[in-house]
Amino acid sequence: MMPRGSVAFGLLLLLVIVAVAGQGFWTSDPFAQDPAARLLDPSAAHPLGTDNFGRDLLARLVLGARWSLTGAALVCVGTSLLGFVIGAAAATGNAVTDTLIGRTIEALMAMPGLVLALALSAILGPSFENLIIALILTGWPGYARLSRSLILKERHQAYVDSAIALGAGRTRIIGRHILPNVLGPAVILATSDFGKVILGLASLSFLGLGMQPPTPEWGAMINEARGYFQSHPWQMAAPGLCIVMTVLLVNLTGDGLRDALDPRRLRRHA
Amino acid sequence: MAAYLTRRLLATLPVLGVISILAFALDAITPGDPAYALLQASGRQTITAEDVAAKRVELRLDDPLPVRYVTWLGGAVHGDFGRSFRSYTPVTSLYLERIGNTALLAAVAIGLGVLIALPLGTVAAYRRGGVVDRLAQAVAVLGSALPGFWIALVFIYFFSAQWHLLPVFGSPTPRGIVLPALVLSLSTLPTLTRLTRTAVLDILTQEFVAVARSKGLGQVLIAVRHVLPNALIPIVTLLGLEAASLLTGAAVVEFVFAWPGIGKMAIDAALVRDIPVVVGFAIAAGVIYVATNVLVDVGVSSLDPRITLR
Repeated sequence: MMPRGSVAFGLLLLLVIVAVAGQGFWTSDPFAQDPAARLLDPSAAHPLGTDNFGRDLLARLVLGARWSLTGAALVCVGTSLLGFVIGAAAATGNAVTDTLIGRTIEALMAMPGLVLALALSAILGPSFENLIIALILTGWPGYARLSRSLILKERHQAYVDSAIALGAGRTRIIGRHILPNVLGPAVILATSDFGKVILGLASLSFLGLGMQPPTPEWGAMINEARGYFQSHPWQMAAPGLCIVMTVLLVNLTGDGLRDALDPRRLRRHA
Repeated sequence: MAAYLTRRLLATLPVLGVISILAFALDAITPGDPAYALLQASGRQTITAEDVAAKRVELRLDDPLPVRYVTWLGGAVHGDFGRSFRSYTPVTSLYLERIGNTALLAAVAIGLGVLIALPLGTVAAYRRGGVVDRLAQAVAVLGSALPGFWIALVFIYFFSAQWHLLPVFGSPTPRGIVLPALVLSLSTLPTLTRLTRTAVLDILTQEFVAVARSKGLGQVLIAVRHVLPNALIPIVTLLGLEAASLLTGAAVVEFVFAWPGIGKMAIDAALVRDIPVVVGFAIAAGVIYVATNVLVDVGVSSLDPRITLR
């Protein structure tokens, strides 16, 4: 399986390069409207054609890659950090704290994927930033549960006892000594979540609760193309294919990473 | 059994309690004045400051938060989750009207998923490494990368716009349910196929399968009589979870097909910031999840006599 993961990882790196530097190679302005060039078929000037406002589709897709990837990365880093802090509080706090956090995790995990994110982004108001905040605030329970169980296991290891004997405080022990040992499984969980987060961001942006026009996010682009997709299906197909391809690469990379790092195959928590 | 059910239901109370606190918190952090929004929704033409003040007293909005929570919980226990900011209809009746449509869609989607995944996963396990196994793996890998809303649009394009086989909009009719159910069943395929394959593989190594073989039973008979019934136990457990997530996670697909279910209603409400209706969705999700879990426990125990409910 490792070769497949490596190939996927290589292609994913390529995609990241396109997202970061793509605008240097393809310099069309993704926001420039041209009423004379609406819904054009692919040509030399517009390799993927133009959209409803005459904007270059390729340039918009390239910029969209940046939003999807950075958005999902922010959510994954945010959820794992928040989950770790809450999990650590549960593992090292008193019984009441532990029970309270445990029940909250259970309750949050009873809500499938986007239900709470939908409610939160409705309350906070529709924007990409608020959507990311909503996904972080609702996505941490899996990480908290993982961190809690791992910390409980590490807490009685000899190196922790030595650190306590040396007079280290709780925060220092968790941050300097336990965190590095918990990082591996958390990274595996985050990579296996990454694809789901990309899909979640795209779904809510598609609904109009995330990225707002005219910014080209792939989900929002599909939403814009919805009005004329029966006559111009390519407008809707192109960003969708971008999403599918990215999530596929991310998932295959994640599978490869998991096989390489953890032969016992860590169970998915989310 | 009755004693088990009672205890099982009591055990769900803490989770429901936390869900109620979360729901109340969402209600409480909502920006804007609910009193004003509700007066507007009730069709009042002119709204004076006195009206708003009176409504605030009626809704007990100026009480301290813990008191408000207890009041809210008292209403919730009686099925009162407030009224919509838009239509002024009680949230509970909005959900009760539409839950049937959502349940119908979820049931058909799960049925389709089982019809595809069970044979696919079983054959994949029997012919490990073969063509079907590779196909099952491809389904699993590709299936988890497909955004449901996009596949819905792709299906509409081909089946409705190009080939004129099925209606663009979903409706609870035999023709209208095909596309939404098909799209939804796709989301259940990856986990369902993978689990069937592992479960069957696991059971094929058990002694009773070897015994059945050695006494000369045919492959098909072994599969139907000995392997599948045992494989069903983990599958039913998963189906329970899938059902819970389909009842609420189907929202985006419901939205694309304009399916008259609770998910579409919740998204429509979120888009116009009709917060009581959106919060009702979170509560519905929690209750549905807890209820299906209890049902699954009971269902699994009737499939496997070794599991006793105590």
